[in-house]
Amino acid sequence: MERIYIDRQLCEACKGCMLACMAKHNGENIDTLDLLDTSNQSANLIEQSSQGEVAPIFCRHCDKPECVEACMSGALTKDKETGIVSLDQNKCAGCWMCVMSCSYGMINKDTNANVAFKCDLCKDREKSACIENCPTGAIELIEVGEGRA
Amino acid sequence: MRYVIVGASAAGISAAKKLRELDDDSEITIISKDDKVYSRCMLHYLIGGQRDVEELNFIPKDFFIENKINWIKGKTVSSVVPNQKSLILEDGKSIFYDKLLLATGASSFFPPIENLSETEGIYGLRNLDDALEIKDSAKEIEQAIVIGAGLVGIDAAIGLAELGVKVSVIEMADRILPLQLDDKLAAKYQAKFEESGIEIITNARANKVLADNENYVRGLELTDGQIIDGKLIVVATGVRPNIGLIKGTEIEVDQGIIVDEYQQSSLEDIYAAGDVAQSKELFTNELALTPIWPLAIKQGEVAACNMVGITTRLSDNFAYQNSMRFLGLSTITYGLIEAEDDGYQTLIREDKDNYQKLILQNNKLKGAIFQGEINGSGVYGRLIKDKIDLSDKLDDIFNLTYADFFKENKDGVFSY
Repeated sequence: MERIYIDRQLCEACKGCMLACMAKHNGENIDTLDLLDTSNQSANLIEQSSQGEVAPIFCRHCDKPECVEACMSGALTKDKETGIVSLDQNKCAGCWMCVMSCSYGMINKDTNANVAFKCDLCKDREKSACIENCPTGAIELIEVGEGRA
Repeated sequence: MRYVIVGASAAGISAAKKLRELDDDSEITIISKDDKVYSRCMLHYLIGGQRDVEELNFIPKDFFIENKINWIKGKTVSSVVPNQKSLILEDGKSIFYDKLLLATGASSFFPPIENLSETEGIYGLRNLDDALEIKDSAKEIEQAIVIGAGLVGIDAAIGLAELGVKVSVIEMADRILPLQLDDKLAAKYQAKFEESGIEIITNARANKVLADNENYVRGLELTDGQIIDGKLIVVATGVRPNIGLIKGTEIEVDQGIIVDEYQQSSLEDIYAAGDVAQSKELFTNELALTPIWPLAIKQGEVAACNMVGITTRLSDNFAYQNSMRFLGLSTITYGLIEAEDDGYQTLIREDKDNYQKLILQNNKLKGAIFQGEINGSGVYGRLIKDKIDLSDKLDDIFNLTYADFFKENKDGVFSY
């Protein structure tokens, strides 16, 4: 399976990855994305620590995903082959047990509905939108062996 | 190897799935009194009409076939006979096991209120049938009563209100959701419920169920003499683990089946998981029932690992966490709801729509509440679970994210 590896030192917090993620979920591209629309949402986040250091934080698609274990509706599943932790928003009941359970804050409420929202690793695209739009190489897709968490 | 699981809800299903993952050949049998798999957390959506029975299912359609699981459904297990390694079903049939998992869950508790058990129109809200029957009888009535304002009681009230039924909720404590919420949070929900026509009566005890000539409920008399009208009562005053089937065995029982950190009961080859199990809880370090979904799943998996012989401990049996969304208002809580004494520091940040409360002791987080904005709260849950020292982060305590703890190994796995 693959995972986004983060090189924190290389991140300049340009937030290109976040814009790309927002655009992807809106069916837009970065150039046409309405930046004033606060309902735009990125699954992955550039966060700042209390010491002022930035960190790109991306869903791990964990080997033992707490969000999946917490999901009482069957909306969250982990694909055995790809390792991708997927959310089916149609099944999601918005109980927030996944939000409660993710230690990294990587599954959140969808800004437009009472369902969860998370990274799908752009499984429908050849390359993840965030990685495509990172100018410094702070995020890259690495191959990780099965069950090596 | 013959694995037998009793119960087809969160713990039982999770164990079966894990067993098959770890052991491709052995025989796996699930016996359940339910003849459908459904999430109990969503029963109120069935009452309210937002979901049908199919939409309460939390596993893929072909789960039993795909995982080669023999499912004996709609059957109750009467007893366990450990020295013969067998179970006796209600129809007298015996089932033999090599390893047994008891994931029988819990049942609604009906308190000793006069006329409660004799009167028609009284329901718990625990099983699919409860929800179907409530929904069905709610069609005919205008007023209903819910006894108990815990998570289940509130769910029931909202489900009924969705159908246009006028609901009165009776609660013994001084606020709704007393185990999950502090005064302030509860008040906010209470106001919302009242706005939507749900009547909340706190500090109230039911004295007697009032019946009509046909022995059908017509109301409830409280201990102060007040009479509440309603032609249906949902009793949501807690649950009791389903341990009847091990009566007469030597399996150690307190409130539930006592298990160790491997989910094994006091008898070898017999395991328990989910609502029926009583285990060492992480936050209190005490033996407790841990009736939340995520732990049922985890305990089921841990039991399965140990049943196939892969020694596995449950390291994060953290039951003091709750999430809820009622009438569009969301809340997530972890650990303590209120400081227990002067040894704690309570910090509150709030605005019109959001309320956050953090309870610290010796620079470690002991309680965290998020109402309104809930995103990112999981970080705080982890800080409590792992008892992480926050001495150098107190100035920015409300703004902590994983960026404050960022640690990544070469496989891209995060840790704290």
